[in-house]
Amino acid sequence: MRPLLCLLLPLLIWGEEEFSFDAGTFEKKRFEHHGYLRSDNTLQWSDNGRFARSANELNLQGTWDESPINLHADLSAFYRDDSRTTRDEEVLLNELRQRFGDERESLDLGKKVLRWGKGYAYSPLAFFERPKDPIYPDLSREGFWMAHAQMTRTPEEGIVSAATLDLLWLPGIGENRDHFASTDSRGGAKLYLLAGQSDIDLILAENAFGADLSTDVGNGLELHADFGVKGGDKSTLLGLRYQSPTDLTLIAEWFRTYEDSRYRYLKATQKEPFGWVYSSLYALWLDQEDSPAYRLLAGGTYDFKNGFALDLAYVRTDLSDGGKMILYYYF
Amino acid sequence: MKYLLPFFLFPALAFGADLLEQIDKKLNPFSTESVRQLINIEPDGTRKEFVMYMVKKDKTKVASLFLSPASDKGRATLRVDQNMWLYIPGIAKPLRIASMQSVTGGVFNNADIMQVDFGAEYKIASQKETPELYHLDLVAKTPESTYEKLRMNVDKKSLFPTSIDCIAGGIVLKTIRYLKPKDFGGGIVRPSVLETTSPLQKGFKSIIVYGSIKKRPLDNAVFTLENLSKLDDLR
Repeated sequence: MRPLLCLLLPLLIWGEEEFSFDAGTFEKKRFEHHGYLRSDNTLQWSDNGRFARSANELNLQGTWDESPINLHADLSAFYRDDSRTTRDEEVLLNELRQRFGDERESLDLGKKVLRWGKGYAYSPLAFFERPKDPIYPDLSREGFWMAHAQMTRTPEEGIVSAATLDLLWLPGIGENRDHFASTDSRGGAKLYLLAGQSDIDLILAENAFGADLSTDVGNGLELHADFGVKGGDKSTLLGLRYQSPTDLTLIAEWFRTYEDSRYRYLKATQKEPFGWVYSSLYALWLDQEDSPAYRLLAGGTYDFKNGFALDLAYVRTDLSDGGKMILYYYF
Repeated sequence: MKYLLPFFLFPALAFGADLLEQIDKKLNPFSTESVRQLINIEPDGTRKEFVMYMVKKDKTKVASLFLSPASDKGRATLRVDQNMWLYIPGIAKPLRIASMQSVTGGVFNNADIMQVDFGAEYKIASQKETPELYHLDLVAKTPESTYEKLRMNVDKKSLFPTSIDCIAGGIVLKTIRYLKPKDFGGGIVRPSVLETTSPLQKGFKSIIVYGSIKKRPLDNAVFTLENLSKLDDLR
């Protein structure tokens, strides 16, 4: 018996995989950087013929963190080409900000992106955001020049367990002036409250105000709503997000813009369908009430283990049919 | 006699609650920060690895920041009680996420990755023991808890769990094994490897390896939604 054990022991040891991990490799460095390459290629057919478009982006991000310097920069270089117009090249500074302070009180100075409101496709509260495509809301990465102070408190008692006050000041310079069509500086404030299982924001800006709510009603269902008033015009968004234990996510939104256009948005995503890990299938529908305009995307994504990710989709609008292939490489 | 019964039962119930608290303290002794690696292993042996910086305070506050791979770098998650959020830097606003879904894929779900104290979510329903182990049946305190029941085996000597069956709808969804106790310094000794398998995902395995864990006093403001974008400043 003992000789048999001696023979089997090395096999048993070899079979038991050893897991160890050196955390020192991930010690924070003074300068850290990362980025991605994104190549978005679309082919469409319509009554006007065939149309091909390619939009390529190189994004670089870096952070230099050595007290008192805490500087973050985010830069994108674009190369766009299509079968009808000329080529287009552009370099955008998305963010460049210095941060002072800590988790309780902080001050950011520079160019940065703010995401206010709870809507996925649209938000009536994006008073300090650039316009975005409801289908690809994440492509709008460029911020504005601002001074942004934040104060957070966490009361031990009462229904509110966290409160954060944001104060903003945007000087009338550079791209701020182009976007807001005014040389005046502008300000804004936001009060965030966590009450039970609800996130609430109350927002006040020059000539505008609004509020939003996101609440977890249990069983994977979240309800959200945004309401804003700007220059006397009103805008509303109502939405829900359902997440099943089988990794199916449904987002449904109805919204009315400040221009009184009304839209319906529905997105269904199934992560890891049929047990295919790191993949997802999705279908997305956006249409406008009282208009024949609509957009439909049906596709799939796969995250490779070497930093590449692929998104393939069938695209249909009221005017055209086509396909889209987006390839990402993260580094 | 029926009036005396509660007096006899009380010490046993109190011991049960105390035992769960001791187990929690052994696993997460203080306000801590840690660096962990999460490895998803597919049936053919291929792997995907994630590295996370994680902070935890009290029984129910957990925040984590993805350091690797590059596609996930800068993503942050926050859990306070049953509230869970995901933040993707520069791109999207923080989203509320569900405990049973998974930001990483694989066998671990969000609640497993952002594990709060067992005593915060579960209570001991029954307890048995053998010379070496406690066998605890835990039931969820509220319907919002991730699993209905946990079947936990605990080493009597160290008070570390050795294995936990996670049960919902009457079926075992996954089994988590706590392996390789390690002295991390500063008085923190705990299992350094958590291995998870699921009968629903045959051949798949997910592993969490603790690279470091140390005490760190943390302000409650760290565990707020608006602080997710500043989590990297803590490192």
